[in-house]
Amino acid sequence: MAAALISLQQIPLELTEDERLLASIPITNSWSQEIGDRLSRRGTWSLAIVKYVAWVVITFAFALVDSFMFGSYEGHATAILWLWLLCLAIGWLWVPTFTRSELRSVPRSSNQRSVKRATTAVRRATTADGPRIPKGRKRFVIDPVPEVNEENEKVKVESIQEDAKREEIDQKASPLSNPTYHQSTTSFRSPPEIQQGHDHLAISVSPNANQSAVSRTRSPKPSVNPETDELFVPQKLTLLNRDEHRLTATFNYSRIMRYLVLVNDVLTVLDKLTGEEDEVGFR
Amino acid sequence: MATTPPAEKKVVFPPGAFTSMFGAAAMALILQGGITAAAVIVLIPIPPLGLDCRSLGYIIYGATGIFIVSLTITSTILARISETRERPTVVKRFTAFIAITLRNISFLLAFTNRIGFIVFHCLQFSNFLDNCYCLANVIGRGTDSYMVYTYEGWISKIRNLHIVATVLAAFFVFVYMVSLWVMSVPPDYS
Repeated sequence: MAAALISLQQIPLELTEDERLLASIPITNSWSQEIGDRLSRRGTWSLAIVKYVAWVVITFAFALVDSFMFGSYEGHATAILWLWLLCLAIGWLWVPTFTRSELRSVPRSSNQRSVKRATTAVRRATTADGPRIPKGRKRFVIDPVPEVNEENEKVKVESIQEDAKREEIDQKASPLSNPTYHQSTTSFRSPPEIQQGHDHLAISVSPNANQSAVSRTRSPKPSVNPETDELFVPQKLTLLNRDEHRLTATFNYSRIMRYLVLVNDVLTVLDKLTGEEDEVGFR
Repeated sequence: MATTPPAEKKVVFPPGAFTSMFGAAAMALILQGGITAAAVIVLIPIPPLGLDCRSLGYIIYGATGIFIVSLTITSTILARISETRERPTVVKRFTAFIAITLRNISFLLAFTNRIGFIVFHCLQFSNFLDNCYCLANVIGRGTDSYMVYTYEGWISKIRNLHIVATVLAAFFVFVYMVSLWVMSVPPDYS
């Protein structure tokens, strides 16, 4: 998880606080492991890149030889001045970079696979909505088998802990059935909500710069669009946050604050979930 | 689940923000400034002595790059201040305006700097910079300008300067690559 977070600092990242999405994705080791594995890989040294780097090095060597043999100071200075390009080319191989399609598919498939795995795994469910559990007793819930619709690859999740309140909503628009669930994000205000009892966490990547935006609205409750069955929050891409959603590491400078807030939130939640279970979950 | 959580105060600057920003800026400074300095070292002490067309162009190029980094950092800080203000006060609007303006200026500067860099090298290698104006020490000398026709006595000095500049550039590249490697390695996490 930490590896994924570190590698995802090169791209726009959002932390959803949609409760249904939060509750529908189990944090298991496999889920975080898979996210971490698939989203923390670096660029690989292909033969083409090696050849390009070698050409640059050879050219630099020629410039050096030329300057030392014939006293061409101009060529020497120019060769040195272009060295940053070599550093950047190699540096781009070291930082993880992803394509838009990859960013869309990896979290979604990981979520789906994790839900499938959770059908056989036993996981603990503690929510503030659920019945109060006597202290010291641990409550285990076996997840229901999700219906996998083969046509549109949608997985519907009906969590036990949500059935009473959100049954009708879940039937209509389960978060995982929504391919564009990353749009349903609001601003980062997760720790107080999640502290109240969610033991699940979802991170959505927003590769779609034009559609998904970190909302500046304070409304914590996403609304359901009845026509498209999509969760959405009215969002506006302003001049101020426009650069944050561009999918190159060049624009990291505009994302740094939001990214650090997100990291702090996630780490807080993970600490709460793993370290202080008895205080948070089993009141 | 309470659907209306209490209004909480947004953290304006998350912990580690300034460390990250200035760390990244320092790396950019090391690479850009160090390499530019190494290139300028070759040019300054040999004829034409002092700031001539080439060295001044290099310095302007490197300084513009550093200036762009500082502009983007300022813009980021102001944008964060603006977006954490809940009410549309004067401060919120003003900081947003300044942040957007700085961002656009930095993009414009980066574009012109890059284009100018390439154009400069085109001029340089097409011997356009070998005119009287650039070969004489124009900047800072005024009427005392002179032009050097032969480099007879300068050969050893040029060679030493080349060695110094190469070592310096290699050092800065090494520092940059090592720090980038250290900072970009994901930790082992299970």
